[in-house]
Amino acid sequence: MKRTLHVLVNDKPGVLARVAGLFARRGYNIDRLIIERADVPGLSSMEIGTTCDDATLDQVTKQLSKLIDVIKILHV
Amino acid sequence: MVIESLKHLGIETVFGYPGGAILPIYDALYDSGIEHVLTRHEQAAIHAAEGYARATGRVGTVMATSGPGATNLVTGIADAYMDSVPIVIITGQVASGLIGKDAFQETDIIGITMPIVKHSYQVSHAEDIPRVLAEAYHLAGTGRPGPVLIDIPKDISNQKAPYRKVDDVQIPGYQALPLPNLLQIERAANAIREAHRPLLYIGGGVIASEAAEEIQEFSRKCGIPVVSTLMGLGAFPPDDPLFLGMLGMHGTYAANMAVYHCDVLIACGVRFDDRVTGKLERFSPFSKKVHIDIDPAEIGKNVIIEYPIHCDLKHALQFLLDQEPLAPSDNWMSEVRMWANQHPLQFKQEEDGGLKPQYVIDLLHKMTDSTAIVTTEVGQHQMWAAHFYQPKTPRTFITSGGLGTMGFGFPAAMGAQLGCPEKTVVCIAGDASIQMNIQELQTVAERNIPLKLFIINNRFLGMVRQWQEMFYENRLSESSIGQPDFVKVADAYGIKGLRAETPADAKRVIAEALAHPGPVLVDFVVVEDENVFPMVPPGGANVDMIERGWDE
Repeated sequence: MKRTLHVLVNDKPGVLARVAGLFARRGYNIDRLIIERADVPGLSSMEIGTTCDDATLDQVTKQLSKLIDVIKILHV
Repeated sequence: MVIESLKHLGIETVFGYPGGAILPIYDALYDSGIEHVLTRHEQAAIHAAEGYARATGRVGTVMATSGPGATNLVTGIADAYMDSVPIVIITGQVASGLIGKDAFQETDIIGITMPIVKHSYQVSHAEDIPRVLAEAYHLAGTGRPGPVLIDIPKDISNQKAPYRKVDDVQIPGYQALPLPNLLQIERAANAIREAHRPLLYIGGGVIASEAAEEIQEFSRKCGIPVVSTLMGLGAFPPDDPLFLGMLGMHGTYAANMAVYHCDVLIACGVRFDDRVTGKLERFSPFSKKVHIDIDPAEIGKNVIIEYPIHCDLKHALQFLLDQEPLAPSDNWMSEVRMWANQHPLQFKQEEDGGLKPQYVIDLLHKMTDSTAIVTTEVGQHQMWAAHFYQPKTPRTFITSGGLGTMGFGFPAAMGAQLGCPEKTVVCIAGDASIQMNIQELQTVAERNIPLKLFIINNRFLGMVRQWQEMFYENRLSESSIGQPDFVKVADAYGIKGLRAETPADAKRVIAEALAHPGPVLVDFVVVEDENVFPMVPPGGANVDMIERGWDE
């Protein structure tokens, strides 16, 4: 099933690598990715499209939220 | 700046090895008063920092230079990540202007370690150093502990900047202590109250959250038997009738039967590792599962959990106890005790026969009353130590659980001994494992670190050979392994060396080693062909365990 995650992250070098690396390492695929400066200074927002079932989505969300540079996962 | 920050953070001991890109930090260390333990390999430095952290409960610290210094730390970082060990790693880096130019001893250590750190920093301004270090120690030691790496380019560590004190650490989006959800706790308590065959399954999280007392109180008050992972050993006294021992691949009969037949499994600070569960589809098939963990990503990762409690274990148990979740389990208790009594862990030591490895460890247990801190390497001797040493308090059994790192135990024992100078520290090693960091005999010798190194010498990569015997038609590919004369090696390093070849020798030599005030190496020449049982064959369920060797 197609899903979209909206993730608020620190606007710092290497943050995309952390997020993308987490997807790769746990075997999740990214279908679509948009990154832009967020309204809040110092933060970026990521829109990540992925295809997975509910259990995988739950695990992806929890693993993402453990990254220190991930501030908030807005909605799924 | 780095050293000043470390002092302000109360760091007394660091492990490490200097080199070009970290020279400015070592220069500041020179007359700082911080104790630096110079190992003979960076890998040993990080395992020592892990041993220090796990024995004391404080965050361990390790420093190394850029390039090969940093990459030599990688195994230890992965080990600390898998076993949730709080350590801060400080690496030197080539000067900012050279980064990305393939400079001498440049490596992208942030990139290399990204999947195996809790977090990492590359410092770009000297004035950030106090804040970054304060954050790093906070992250490493709180929540689910883990390794945090700080990479500092040489031009940054060379800069002088006024030190600004960091009063409180604020990291947006990071919550060290999740608050318990009372509804989750109430639901779990109800499930436990209705259970007929409840079982506590405890792991390293009990030790990390200092919840051993709460676990014991909970278990005794409710009369719920306990099984433990390798990492949880020491959290529950082994002589308590409620304790059934370790579960999983080399678990006891009683523990594996109990986990298979229970109807409510209360998992505390564990991660349902494959060495514990065996075949997932047949793991504890009749139970509803309560899982208490500080890391939400562990809950439901491998096994479906009906009653999740996302919370620090110590708090969760206190709240659960308030709910008085008593479960009537008299029949269940007599059943698990019957399994435990009829199928104990066992070995046969004939008085005039060859020396058995289990006998050596059982002797150590008896002769120290399990008051020593034991570290282990990885392999058969590690499992025998888990079976027969019987640690009875937290932080007295230190072993590489998740990564299974040969070469871990000996440097970890150095760190544990430096962190706990008043304790007896014994490293139980295999003859192959010890050769992976044997150079640390020099560190031990020159600092007179009084640890006891017990080498269980069977001339084999014993666990590899056991698998080859059982699953590869006894084709012993590269598992027979040579070694030097360990007593002569000890002598060359200026350390007392002893050897035991018979049961009588073993007893005498252990007494002599424990009584010696300095470091001792003991070479226990044991029989070659002993294997570890019980064993759940790979791909099997916990009830499919093989209890004894083929020959019996």
